[in-house]
Amino acid sequence: MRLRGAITAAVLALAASAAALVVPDPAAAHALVSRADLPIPEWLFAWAASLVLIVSFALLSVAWLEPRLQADSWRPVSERISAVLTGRVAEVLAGVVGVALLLILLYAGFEGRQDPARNLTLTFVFVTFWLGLTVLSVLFGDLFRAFNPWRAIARAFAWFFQLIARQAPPAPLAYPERIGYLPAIVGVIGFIWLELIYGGAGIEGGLAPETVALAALIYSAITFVAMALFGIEAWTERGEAFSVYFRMFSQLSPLEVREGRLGRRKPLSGATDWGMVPWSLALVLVSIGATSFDGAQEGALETPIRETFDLFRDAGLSIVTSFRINGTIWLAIAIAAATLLFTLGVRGMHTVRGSPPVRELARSFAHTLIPIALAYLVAHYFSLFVFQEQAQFTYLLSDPLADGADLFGTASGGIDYGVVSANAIWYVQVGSLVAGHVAALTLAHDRALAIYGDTQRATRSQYWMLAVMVGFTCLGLYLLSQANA
Amino acid sequence: MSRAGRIAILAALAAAAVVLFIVLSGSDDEDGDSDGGAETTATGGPPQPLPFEVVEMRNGEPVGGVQRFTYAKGDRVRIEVKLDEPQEDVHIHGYEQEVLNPTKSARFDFPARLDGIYELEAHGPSGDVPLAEIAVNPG
Repeated sequence: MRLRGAITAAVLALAASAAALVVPDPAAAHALVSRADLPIPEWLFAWAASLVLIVSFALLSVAWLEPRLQADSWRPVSERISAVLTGRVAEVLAGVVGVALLLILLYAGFEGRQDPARNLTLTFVFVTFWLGLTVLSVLFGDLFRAFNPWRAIARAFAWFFQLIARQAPPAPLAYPERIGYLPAIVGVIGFIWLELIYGGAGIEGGLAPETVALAALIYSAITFVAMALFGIEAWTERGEAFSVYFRMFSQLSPLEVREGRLGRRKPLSGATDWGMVPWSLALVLVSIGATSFDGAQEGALETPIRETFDLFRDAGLSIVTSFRINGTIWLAIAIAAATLLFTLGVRGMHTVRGSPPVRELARSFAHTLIPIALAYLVAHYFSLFVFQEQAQFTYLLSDPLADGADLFGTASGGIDYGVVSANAIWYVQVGSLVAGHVAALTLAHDRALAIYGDTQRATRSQYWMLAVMVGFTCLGLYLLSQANA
Repeated sequence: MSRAGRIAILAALAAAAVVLFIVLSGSDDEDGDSDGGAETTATGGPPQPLPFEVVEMRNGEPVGGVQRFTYAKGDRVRIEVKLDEPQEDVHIHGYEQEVLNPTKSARFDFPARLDGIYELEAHGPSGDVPLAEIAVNPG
C-alpha cells in the first residue's frame, strides 16, 4: 500500500517535471568560459534517475518516527576558539578585507582594460564571490556577515558617530516586517539578471568590467541609504541581497555564530528556521528557477528560446534588445515553473487530514528546497568554478587590470582544462543532485513528522513532497543531459 | 513493516542499483568496442589519419552554420578553415591553438587530449565569429 502510493507519487512527479520542461527558457553564453561541459551520457542519466527513485523509496522505508532536526542542537565550541575566530580583532580584520576587496573590484572595473576574461572584475564577482561564497557558507556558516563591506563601512561610521555625538546613529524608520526579504529578492534577481541576461548578449551588448563596477557602486549607495534609514542590522538581516542570499545557504552549515559565540549544530538542522520571514520561500524558488533557466538555455529549451527571440527580431527590435527581453521573459517563466511544481506538491499535501492552511504549509516546507537549490548550483557551475578559479589565482591575481602587470609572478599562468576530466565532472554533477535530493527529503520528512504528529499522516503527506523532489532532481538531471548536446 | 522487512527491501534496492549500473554502463562500452572493431576491419591496415574537416567562412559567417566535430580523447583533431578574406587570427579556445594572420586558410592538426566542448573562432574584420565546436568525449 505504502509502496503503491510512492510509485503513484513518483509518476506524478515525472509528469510534473516533464510539464515544467515544455514551458521554460533563453540563450546566453558565459562571457568568461572557453570550454563547455559535455552533456551527461544517456546511461548515466538513466542510472541517476533510477538511483533517485531507489534512494527515495529507501528513505521512506527506513523513515524515522520522531522529528530529529527540529529541536535546537546548537552548542558553543570552546571559548578560546570562539574568541579567536569571532572576537573583535577578527571582526575588524574581516571587515577590512571585505572593504579592500570591494575597492579593488571597483578600481579594476573602472580603471582596468575592458576585457571581460582578462580583467579581474567579472570572474571575481560572478565566480569567486557569488559561487565561492555560496560553497563556503554551506561549509563554514555565515561568513559574509563578517566580510560584508557595506556592513563594515556602516559600522565604522556608526562607531565614529558614537564617539563624537555620544549616541548611536538613529534609524528614522522601522523596517516593515511585512515585506520580509522582498528587497533582498529584488537585489538577487537584479544580480542574476545582470549576469545571465544583461551580460549574456555577447561581447557587443555584453558585460564590461566597468558595467559591473558601476552596478556595484549603485548597489553600495542604495545599501548605505537603506542602512541609514532602517538601521544597519535591520537592513543586513532582511534587505541586503547578498547577506540574505548567503545566509540562506549557511542554514545548511553545521557552524553558526550566535551573539558573538561560535557553535556547532547538527548538519541540516539550522535550515529548519528558514521560512518564518515573509518571502523566504520565494528566494529559494528564485535560485532554483534561475539556475534552471541557465541550464535550460544551453540545451533543453535552446530551440523554443531561439524561436521567441526570432519573434522579437521580426518585430523590429535590435539583437541585444530582443535578447534581453526574451531572456527576461524566460527567466520569469523558469521561476514560475519552479513555483508551480512546489505549489502542486503543497496543494497535494494539503489534502491530508489535519493539514495547516496552504500558505502556512508552503512556508513550513520552504527550507526543504535549500539543498535542491545548492545541488542545482553545484551541478551547473562546478566546472566553471574549477576552471575559472585557476584564472583567479594566476593571471587575474597578478594582473587584475589586464594591463601587463605581474604582481605575484603568476601572470603567465593559465587555466589547465585537464585538471578535472569530463567523467569527474559528470559524477560531481549527478552526485550533487542525488545528495541534494536526499537532504531535501530528509528535511521534508522531519518537518512532516513535526507538523502532522502521527507517522501515518506524515508519510502520506510526504508522497507529495517526494513527488516534488523527484521532479526537481530529475529536471536537474534532464537539463544536464541536454546541455550542449 | 518489520525491521527485517525494511532491511530486505533496502538490500534488494541496493542490488538492483548495482545491476542497473553494470547493465547500463556495460552496454555503453560494448557499443564503443563494436564501433572500434568495425572501423579496423574496414580499413584493414594501420589506422589512417582522419581527413581534414573543412569549415568555410564566407561574408563573416561559417557556411552552413556552426557545426560540431566530435572526437574521442586521443584522436587527432584535423580542421581546415577556408577564408574569403584575411583574419587577424583563427583560434581554438581551451587548446590555445592559434593561426595568426591567415589569408586564405588556417589548418589545425593536434591531439585531442582535453575532453569537453571548445569553440573554434575567427577574429578579424567581423569581430569574433564562432565557426565550429570541437567536442571531445572521454576515451
